[in-house]
This record gives sequence, structure tokens and C-alpha cells, in this order.
Amino acid sequence: MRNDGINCAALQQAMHERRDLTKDESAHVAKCDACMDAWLTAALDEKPEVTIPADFAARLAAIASPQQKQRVQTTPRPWGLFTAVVMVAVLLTVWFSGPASMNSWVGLLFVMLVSSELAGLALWLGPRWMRR
Amino acid sequence: MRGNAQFEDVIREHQAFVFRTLARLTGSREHLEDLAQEVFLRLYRGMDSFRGDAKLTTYLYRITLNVAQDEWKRRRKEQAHTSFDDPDENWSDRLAHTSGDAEQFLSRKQGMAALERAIGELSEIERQVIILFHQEDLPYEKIAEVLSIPLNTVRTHLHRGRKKLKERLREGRPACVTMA
Repeated sequence: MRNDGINCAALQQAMHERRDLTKDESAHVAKCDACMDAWLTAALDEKPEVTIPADFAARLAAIASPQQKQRVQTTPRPWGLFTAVVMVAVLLTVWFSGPASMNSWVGLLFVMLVSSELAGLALWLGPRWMRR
Repeated sequence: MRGNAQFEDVIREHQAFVFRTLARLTGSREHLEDLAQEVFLRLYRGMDSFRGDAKLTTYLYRITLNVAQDEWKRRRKEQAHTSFDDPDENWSDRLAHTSGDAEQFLSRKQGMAALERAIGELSEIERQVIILFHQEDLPYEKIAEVLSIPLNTVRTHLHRGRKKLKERLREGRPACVTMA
């Protein structure tokens, strides 16, 4: 309690009950940290009054349904996976039908490309399959 | 969620929270209905991914905060300085108050208005934590889940936010007269 004669405990209780404060009590709150804390808590806890139209929910529910129906439902195509598979198939074809791969740097490059493609596919598909 | 009736029930159950939070986070009653509509429409469009009530409320909190954030940013760009002495200021938009005598009524109104202004000066995350904790009585764990931040960070933001509010309110004393 400060020297202004205000009882902090009583004042904090009054603020909790949302009683109006006198000028002296208000002045005390501004100076007393504990009472300011209590005032702040009471003020923040107070829910703001808002006006909600009675038909808000009904109107919104009516709007939402046609909007949802108008959305075009699409099944996402796995273009990434499709492209990767095609590229792997092309690389494997070139690799097996081309010249002896291990005797040239070109062949070695193809082997590395194919390996990295397969590794990428495994890294990409593995977690997805595990989540199913 | 299937059907209008079920969605309407969800709206009725959560509309008060949405309106209150939007009012506090945006600091105004303007366009509340439009903002709340945006919140629920975003919720409706994302409903297929839900698996239970717990996730629904968490997602609803997040959408509400995001919509308020977007509105806040929009208003910051347009907002002119408002003054307690501005004769055109519409105080009916401020928090309602049970009346005492005229002087106390004005003082309390000024105090609450000063608090709303101070809330507006907090960082976005501090504002969100304070409103979710105080106004909506959410526990720390729920706030952490909604905002996707660690539990201790919630406590830190709450502490810092309250500290800043007290400092702002004390700094603004000459303007707001009293803290009733």
C-alpha cells in the first residue's frame, strides 16, 4: 500500500469485479505496479462487446455451399513422377542400346544420370509410400 | 463436414470468438462482419483436411489471426492519426461500458481506448499471444499449437507484451487522463 491511503488488495479486488474507480484510485493505479498489473489483467480479460447479426450463420452457410459446388474438382496429376519415369526409361534405353557404356565417358555419364534419377525417385516416393 | 446445417452449427458455435478476436486484433468494429465471413469461408474451403474437433478450432484460430493480420496491414497503410480530441471520432465503436457518473464513464472509456491503442502498438505476435491468453483464456500449450511456436516463446511474448502495455499506458497518461 502506498502513502496515498489506498488499500491495494481492496483496489485490486474492485478492479477484478470491474467496479468503477475513483479519481484517487485511478491515480494510484498509474503509480503502483501491482495495481497496474491487476488493472491490465482485468482490462485484457474483458471480452469486447460485438454485435453479431442473428442471421449471420444461416446466410453464410447458404453462401458457402454454392461456392463449394462451383469449385472445379481436379485430381492432381503426378507430373513430376511421370516425367521422372519417362526420363529414366529413355536413359535406360539409350544406355542398353548404345555402345559399350563402361568404355567411354559418355556411357559413364549416362550411368551416373540413371543412378541419380533412380535415387531421386526413391527419395521422393519412399516417404510418400510410408505415409500411406 | 457435409451440408449447410453442419457448417451453420460450426459458425454458430465459434462466431462469438471470431468476432471478438477480430475486433480486438484490428482495433475497430469496421467491416467485422465481412472479416468474419472471410474467416468462415476460408475454413469451409479447407474443411476436407480435418479429422477432429481439436484441429478444427486450432485451424479456426489460425485463420482468424491471419485475416486480422491482413486487415491490420491494410489499415496501417490507410490509417490517419486519431485523437481523443477529434470531434469526428465515433466513440460508439469503442468497447462498451456499464455507465457510472459522466466523469468516471469518460475516464474508463479513455483508459480502455488507451489500452486498445497500446495493443495496436505491440508486435503482431505479442498482440496475438495476449489476446489468445487473456481474452480467449487459452492455455500456453494451445497458444503454442495455434501459433506454431515453442511454449517458452509464448510465455516470453506474453511477458514482454504486458510489460510494453504498461509502459505505453504510463507514457500516455497525460493524454488519457486517468486509468480508470
